[in-house]
Amino acid sequence: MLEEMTDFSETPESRPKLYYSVLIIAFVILAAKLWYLQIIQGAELQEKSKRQAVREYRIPAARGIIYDRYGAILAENRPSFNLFFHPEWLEKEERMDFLKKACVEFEVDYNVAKRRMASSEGKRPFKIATDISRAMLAKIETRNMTYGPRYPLEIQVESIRVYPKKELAAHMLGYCAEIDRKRLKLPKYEDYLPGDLVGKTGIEEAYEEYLAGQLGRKKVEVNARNAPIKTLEIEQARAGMNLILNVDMKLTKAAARAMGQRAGAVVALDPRDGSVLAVHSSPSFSPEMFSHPISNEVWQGLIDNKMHPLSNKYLQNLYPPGSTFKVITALAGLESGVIKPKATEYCSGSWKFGRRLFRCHAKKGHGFMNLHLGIVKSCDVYFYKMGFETGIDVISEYGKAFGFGRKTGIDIVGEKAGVMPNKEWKIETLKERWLPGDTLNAAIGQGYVQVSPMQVAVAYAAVANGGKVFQPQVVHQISRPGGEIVRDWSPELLREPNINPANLKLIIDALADVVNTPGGTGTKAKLSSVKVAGKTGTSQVRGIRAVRLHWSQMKYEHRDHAWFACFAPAENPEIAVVVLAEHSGHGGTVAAPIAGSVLKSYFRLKKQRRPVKTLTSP
Amino acid sequence: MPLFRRRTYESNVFDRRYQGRVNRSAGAGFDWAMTFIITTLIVMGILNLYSAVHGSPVKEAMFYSQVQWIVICAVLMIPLFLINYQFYESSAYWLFGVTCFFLIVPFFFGYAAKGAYRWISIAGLSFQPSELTKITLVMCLSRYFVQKPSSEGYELNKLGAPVLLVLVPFLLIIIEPDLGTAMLHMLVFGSICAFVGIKRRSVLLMTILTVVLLPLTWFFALKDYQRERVLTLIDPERDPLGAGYHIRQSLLAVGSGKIFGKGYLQGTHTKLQFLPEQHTDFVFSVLAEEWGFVGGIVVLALFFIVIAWGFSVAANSKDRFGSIMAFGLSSILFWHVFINVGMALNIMPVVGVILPFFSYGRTSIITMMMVVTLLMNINSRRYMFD
Repeated sequence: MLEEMTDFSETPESRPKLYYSVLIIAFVILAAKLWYLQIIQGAELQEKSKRQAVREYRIPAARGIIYDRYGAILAENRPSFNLFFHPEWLEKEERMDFLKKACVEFEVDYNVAKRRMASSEGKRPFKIATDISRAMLAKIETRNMTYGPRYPLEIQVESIRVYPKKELAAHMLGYCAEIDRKRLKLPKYEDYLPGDLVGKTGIEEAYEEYLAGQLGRKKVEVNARNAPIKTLEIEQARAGMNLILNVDMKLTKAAARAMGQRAGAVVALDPRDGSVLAVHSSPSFSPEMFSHPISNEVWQGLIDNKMHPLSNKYLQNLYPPGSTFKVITALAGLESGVIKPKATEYCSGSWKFGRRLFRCHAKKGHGFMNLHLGIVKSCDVYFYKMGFETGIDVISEYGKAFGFGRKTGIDIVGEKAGVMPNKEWKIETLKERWLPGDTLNAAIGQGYVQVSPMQVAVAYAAVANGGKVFQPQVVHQISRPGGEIVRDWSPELLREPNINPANLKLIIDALADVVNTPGGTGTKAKLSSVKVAGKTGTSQVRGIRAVRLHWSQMKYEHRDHAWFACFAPAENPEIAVVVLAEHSGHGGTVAAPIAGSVLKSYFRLKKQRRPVKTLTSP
Repeated sequence: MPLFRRRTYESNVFDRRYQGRVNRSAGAGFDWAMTFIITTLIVMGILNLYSAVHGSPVKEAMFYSQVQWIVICAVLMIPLFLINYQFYESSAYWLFGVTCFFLIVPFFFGYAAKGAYRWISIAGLSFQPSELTKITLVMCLSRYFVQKPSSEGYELNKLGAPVLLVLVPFLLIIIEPDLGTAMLHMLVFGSICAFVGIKRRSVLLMTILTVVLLPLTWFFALKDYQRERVLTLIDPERDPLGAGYHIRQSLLAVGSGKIFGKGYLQGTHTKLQFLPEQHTDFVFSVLAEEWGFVGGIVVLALFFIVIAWGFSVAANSKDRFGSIMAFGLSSILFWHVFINVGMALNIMPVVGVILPFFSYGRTSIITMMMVVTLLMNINSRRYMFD
């Protein structure tokens, strides 16, 4: 036995050094890596580990409520059940498959969902449906229970914008919709994420920073399944601020009713301070339809409609002002001394100027006309002659002073400046010399003159108040949800052109006679209780031809636009109303009754509300 | 180099080396110090397992069953210690045959867990036979090399039979599939070969064979997820939510422990369940997160002592069978510790090799306890001659 022992002690097994050193090296490697991870990289890895266990959530803020001047709610919020998809809870291969199935089952547009999936890179949850029905909600919740904790569809309660007055004043309010890519790139929207609601157009857009409120943030410790364990930090969301408008919704409703099915616009301003009392653009749309993703057919229908329901006709559409512009020509002539109020001109129905024949709307002519009669009868020939003598540069100067050719500064996004041409303008933009005939057209509000109904309203309000051009203002007050007033508007006087009061009085008297004398063009706006002063306008889409067609004989797109601009009471005006009816015929027959009806409603409402209520903050 | 040697008063008649150390019974040569160290490791393992599973009632049940099982195993180890290890020399082939048979059984009667046929069920308890074949393989190889002694190292012609022996469990396990355990069999085989000594030529040939076999294994034997794991070893950020997820989470857990750790039961990765398989494969990450560098080093040091002791048992065994077997058993321990800890530290690919005494698992606990018991068995019979 001893021999056996000594024998094997000589074999290679007795080379302990080799395997001890292997053992030592192996453990040194382990210990070194442990040292490297825990001592050298420790702090960095600890930071990473902390970050991964903490998720930051955003708490949406309730959007501010919009009230009219008497406290009626124009825009508010209601809860909406939105469906979110969590790609990160699924294995990569299952995602698309599951999404497809879910889209079919829950009637979601797969293409939209697919696009969002791509932009979420499979890491973040994204919204696939907004405001799902209760039946659908029940269905998803049942699925959720049977499938288990990693069912990738999740319901989140968010708020959705509602507009109780539906289509009334939709263009002024604007609408809310999911933020688009273009906006996301702007610094103003840096806190927004795809899928967030944002105000688009109208005051929803203009006052976004006040209405949106401040997002809250919540830091939550989560486990590997993203399930919250405990809340570490919470910063509550702050609700958006409320807006109180100058607008009277009842008056707006009356304007909409008076306008009926016609395409066009109604603007009512308070000439004393420029506050917007009513605005209506017809036909309108329901802003709520943009709260949901809109289908292509509906969108195409809106775009193809020849009455253009989406365009804001009192701010974004431009028209020749027609005869309503004669007030400016008259003022320019009077102030520059060209027009002598008593001097007469003869109207034969047309005026041959150079080689062209400039027609008056009265085929047989008006006979002898002075300033007063020229305005009352709206004689084109009288204003051709007066305009020619005054010159375009003077007319343009007065036009601009009264707000034409420049933005009114109203607090609604997207208004157009229009065109108040002069010689320089034509050379700059059209690279052509100004022709004397252009002056004739401009003098009666045709040719190159392009205005929005809002600009006409601002100009007439200025005429009514003795020459003060105010900035039209929709929002009157901004207040916090608690009622604390953040901002209160005072009237913004833009310009006060130096006009001789006597000249203004001449104009106002003439405007009063337009409505109140039997031969006037605007008698259909006459009210029994209040003296209305106004001016009709019929702006031609095509020039007056030798063969005069009745409007019903013309194509819709070729028919004249009907204008009526007025204010009341004539002596002490408190409301200025401008009506534009697209392609509807004569201002006196179409627009004047609408304006009359709006004025009538205004004074009826005023009587009902006596004693006069001031603006109420809710 | 046992830490503690019991002195006996018998006079030595054989050799100076054994003077005064002949024992009458195995109990007299019992290494109390090593028992204490191993018990310490087992207790640490239990405490750490509790931390890894606490908070989840389903998993906490695992903890209690583990404690229960350890107590049962401790009792089962008594006969294993008392039976002279030389008995296994004669029965090695039989035992190896029986355990290999159990490897085949799961394909017919076993059940698949996570897509692998690893388990058989005996009396309501499930086992992984592949754990046990490691021990019987060691016995088998020891017997073979004892029967075919060679003083200048083995030639390739003598290695044919042991290669065939190891290929039986290796191939069976690789088709289960359980890459980690299969590799472990190969590593144990390699270790024993290195211990008994092989001719340089043979080493060269085996290396060439491995080089040829590796790409074949890569393309034919490995499944996609296993390939992913190897690639992840090279770049942990490769697919942070896929294969890289395990290792990334493990590194975050280990690193965030820093020097002193976050404290017992305070590991956030553990608590928030970011760490997958934290009660089996990544149990060391839990330890490192909660006890920091200090805790990690202490546990590594204890393992080092146990394995080094195992080597000394091999060096000091009274016969060649005991010597080779002791070395084989120690190498089982060594590879388990090195691969498992290496996995947690991203030195080794994620192959599912457990950490002795720390990982949850019935078969792995009993296997590892058997390994140390057999080492003690050999150690305490060093001075017993009959």
